[in-house]
Amino acid sequence: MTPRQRLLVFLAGAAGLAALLAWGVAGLPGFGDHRSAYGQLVTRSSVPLRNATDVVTVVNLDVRGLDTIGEEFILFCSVTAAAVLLRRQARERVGAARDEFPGRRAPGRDDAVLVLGTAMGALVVCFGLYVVGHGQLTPGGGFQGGGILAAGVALLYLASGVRTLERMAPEWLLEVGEAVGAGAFVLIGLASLAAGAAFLQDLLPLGSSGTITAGGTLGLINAAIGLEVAAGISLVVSLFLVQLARIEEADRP
Amino acid sequence: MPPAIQVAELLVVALAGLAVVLTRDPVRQTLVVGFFGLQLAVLFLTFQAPDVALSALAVGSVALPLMLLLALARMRRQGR
Repeated sequence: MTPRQRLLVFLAGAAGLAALLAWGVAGLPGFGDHRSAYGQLVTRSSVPLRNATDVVTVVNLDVRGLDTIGEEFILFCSVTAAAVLLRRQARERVGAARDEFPGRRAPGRDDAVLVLGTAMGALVVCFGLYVVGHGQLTPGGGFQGGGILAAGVALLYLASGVRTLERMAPEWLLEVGEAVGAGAFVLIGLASLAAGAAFLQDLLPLGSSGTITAGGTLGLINAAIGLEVAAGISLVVSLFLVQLARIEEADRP
Repeated sequence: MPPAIQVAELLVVALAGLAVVLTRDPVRQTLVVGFFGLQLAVLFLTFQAPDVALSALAVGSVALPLMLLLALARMRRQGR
């Protein structure tokens, strides 16, 4: 096929795509035009039904809770797959922790970096816990807060090195946290079934709107997801770091 | 017509996305992709979706660049 023929085939395909795209865009509702009946309904009913003021949390964890369990297990499976890929191979051995790249000397530990990094890490962890805990009231929740908590763990490594990370967030602890978080979400759903209600149906008292107890099980589910996401992301990061700092090829001199 | 701040942020995101594609060195690209993730979070905020913005902030500007950098470091070490 000559370049000229290839160009003709591309132009025909591109023209078809452009026509279909223009047709599709012409049928879209106007910018900022909220016509979805579902959206209106769920916005109006989340406080009367669940006492929860963050509609997104109500949709994700309650109205569409089953979908979110599926999403949670997508993350769980990705973390498991990464852990399998990063496991120690037979030809590798665990060496002493070296926080530097071969051929490049790392600067020594600096007190200012250590103190500032630890202080910032503490603030980030507090903010993460706040975001997890207030998911039913304000924007946030388990996924968002869990990601922020994992950023706190990464900050701990940046400030103090791989040895401190291994001591304060050991692999087994992160694995247990991930498994418990993922399992707890399903168990909360099954508890409703065991009590004779529908899967994930809220049987706890709904508290009063605007307080941290609002929304019944929403707070518990957010805590479970927060644990799972924080432990999962931290686990992948820590496995990578241990690979980099400790694992050596056995057949290398 | 959308508010000016949304138009401006859409333009910034488009430019940041273009910058990611045009950066050839993977290590630099990782930093640019972190900036792109940050701008995406700001975009969601201007469109009044703070829930999505918080997720994008944690995943797009912290977790993704960090894992890319770690993977690049691992590959580079193996190459030696």
